Amino acid sequence: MTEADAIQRGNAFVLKNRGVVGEPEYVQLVKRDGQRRYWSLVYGAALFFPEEIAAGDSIDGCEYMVRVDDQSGDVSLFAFTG
Amino acid sequence: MGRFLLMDTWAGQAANWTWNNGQDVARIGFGTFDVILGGSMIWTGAGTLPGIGLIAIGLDQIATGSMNIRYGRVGQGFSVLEFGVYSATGNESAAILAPGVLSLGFGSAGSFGRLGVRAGFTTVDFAGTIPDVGTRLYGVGGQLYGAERLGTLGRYLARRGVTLELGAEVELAGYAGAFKAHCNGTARLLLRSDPTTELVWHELSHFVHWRRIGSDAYRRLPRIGGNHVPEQFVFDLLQRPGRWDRLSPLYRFHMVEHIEDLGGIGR
Repeated sequence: MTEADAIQRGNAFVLKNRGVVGEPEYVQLVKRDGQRRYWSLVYGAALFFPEEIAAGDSIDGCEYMVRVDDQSGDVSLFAFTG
Repeated sequence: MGRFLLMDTWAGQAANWTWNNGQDVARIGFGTFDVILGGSMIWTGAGTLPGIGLIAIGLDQIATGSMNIRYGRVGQGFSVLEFGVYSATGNESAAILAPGVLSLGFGSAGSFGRLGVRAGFTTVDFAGTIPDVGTRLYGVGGQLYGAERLGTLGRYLARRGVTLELGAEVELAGYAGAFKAHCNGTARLLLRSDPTTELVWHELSHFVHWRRIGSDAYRRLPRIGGNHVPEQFVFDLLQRPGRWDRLSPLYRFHMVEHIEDLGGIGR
């Protein structure tokens, strides 16, 4: 799967689950021992809290981190506590 | 978190260690007494079965106290016996009651009295299949922080211009926690209604960073993938010796994946 394919799938996932149109601000292909290779897509908090960010506030803990399986194309959310 | 600190002298360190581990030293002492008493009961023929029971409970207390000291836990957490019952039955109440029931059964009122140590302890189940994001976060394990400590924390933060808000699941769209720094110099620490210690420590680390460098500098920190300063700070703080070992194993694993996916400094 190409990076563009992964981003396309990730964007569709974000639109479906958060109702927001946007692009990831950080993309990388991750390969760890014993794990399937996946594309990691990070959508910044500004995408979901634009007014607060525009006002000069900072928000930590609200990135939306999506994983796209490099082989199957399955998309999942990497949830994190804060 | 709640651990006693004294000046960095030999005497201070000794007092500090005793303060932090005294409860578990006492636990080991009681356990040793139970083992000796149980052995005496068997040796003198006073009762083989009660003697075995006392030895089992004593060894459980010795092992638990030793592990608490080894891993820096302050009189909390399942005992070895409780954990065994919990693993076998999946029933937390049964696990908590197990030492007391055994103690009563074997006539050891002393061990039963130690049930109070467990009363306020609650574990979080692993629930990896639950679809809701906020709930699925419990898949990283940990212990609930507790309402009483949250109240104390809220007052502590309020004196420093930070509002602690519990039950913020809706605002966070399913996330379990966040730290928002506002341009008027205040901040909000948002947590779901029943946060784990791991989650509280994570958000508190953001607070520590914010307080250390000031609101203006904090809000200007880079937060882009590959150079996410606040999350790298949190990771480095939690990874320090004495704290890292106190996080749940799954949470530690999760932290590593999180900072790698997010891209801390130099990653």
